[in-house]
Amino acid sequence: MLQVVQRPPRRRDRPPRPATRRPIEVGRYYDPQTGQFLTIDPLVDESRASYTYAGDEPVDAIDPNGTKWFFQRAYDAVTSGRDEASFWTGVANGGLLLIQSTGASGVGQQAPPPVQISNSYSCPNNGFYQAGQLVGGLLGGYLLGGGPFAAAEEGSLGASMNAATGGAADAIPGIETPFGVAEQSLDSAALSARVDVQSGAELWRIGTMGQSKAGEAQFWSLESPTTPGFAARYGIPPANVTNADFIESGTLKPGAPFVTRSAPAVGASPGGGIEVVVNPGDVQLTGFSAG
Amino acid sequence: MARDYYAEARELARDARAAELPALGSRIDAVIADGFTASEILMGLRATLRDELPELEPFPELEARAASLLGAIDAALAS
Repeated sequence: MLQVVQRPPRRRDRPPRPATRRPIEVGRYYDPQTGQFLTIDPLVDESRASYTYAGDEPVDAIDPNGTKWFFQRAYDAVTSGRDEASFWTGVANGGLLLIQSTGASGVGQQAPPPVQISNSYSCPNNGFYQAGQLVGGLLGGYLLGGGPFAAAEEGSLGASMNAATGGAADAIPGIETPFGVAEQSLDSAALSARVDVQSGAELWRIGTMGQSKAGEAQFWSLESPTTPGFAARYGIPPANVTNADFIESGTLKPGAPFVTRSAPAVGASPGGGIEVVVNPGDVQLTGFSAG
Repeated sequence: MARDYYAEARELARDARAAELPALGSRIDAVIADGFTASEILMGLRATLRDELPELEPFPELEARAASLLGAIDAALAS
């Protein structure tokens, strides 16, 4: 049944924010004239606010993805990389969370959290979530974004939005493959795995001699293919594992670009294994075994 | 349970061979057999289907199945 939700009247007590109607999240459009979203909150059950923008704080807060909002000050601190002693941020349900940064290393602590934001909280299809991960674990976002995010322009929602997307999703370019461009997955598991890859985690691959690519291969796994359940986690036919006659491993060459992807589910295989896609030759082989 | 893209693709490959379109069948089988991750296989299938879809125009039923599979793979890779 079609449900009609009446939008609240336009707020006249606050100036409109200089935003566009650019959708940068999961399909929600922001109307700068009313300071509200034009489309319903996909997390309305959690937020209990169908169209409210940024906790109904359109001047002091931003909501880059339409599902989680932050006070501008908190966002600015995160995106500029400043080592602020503490700042407040809001979450979609209106709760407040005190974040304390403890040093230039970016190691963060939450204290005391009236509302928990989990590192594993998933908010796919938006770039800002990496900054959101910063809130839950300050170090991660900087690494995931390839460096501190661009500073948001004070008081400009549009600039903040651009910084959010530019500093996160757009900062991770896709990898060209013979089958097209492999894009970075934006789920939390794939994003977190970027830190492991950059830290020298071992990459694996198997194949068939004379048929499969070896050192020039572009698709790698973050776990050994000999691990039980590998085929199901990586969404490949079991025969691809049992028929393989070589196994190789290596590490990403320093500074080489890459993307991480959560393997899609296929049939009964749940997927979810972390794939690492690199340019040809960007894995420094450390092991090779045939037979 | 997710859609079984590989089973559908293999069936399409078999029917393509029966329709005397051996190239499509061979490419599909090779992509599935050589892939090391789901993304590698699905991206390979997507590229193959995009390339070969025009060849299926004389076979509306095959063309429709290929287009449906292509759309599903696109969605799987985007999620």
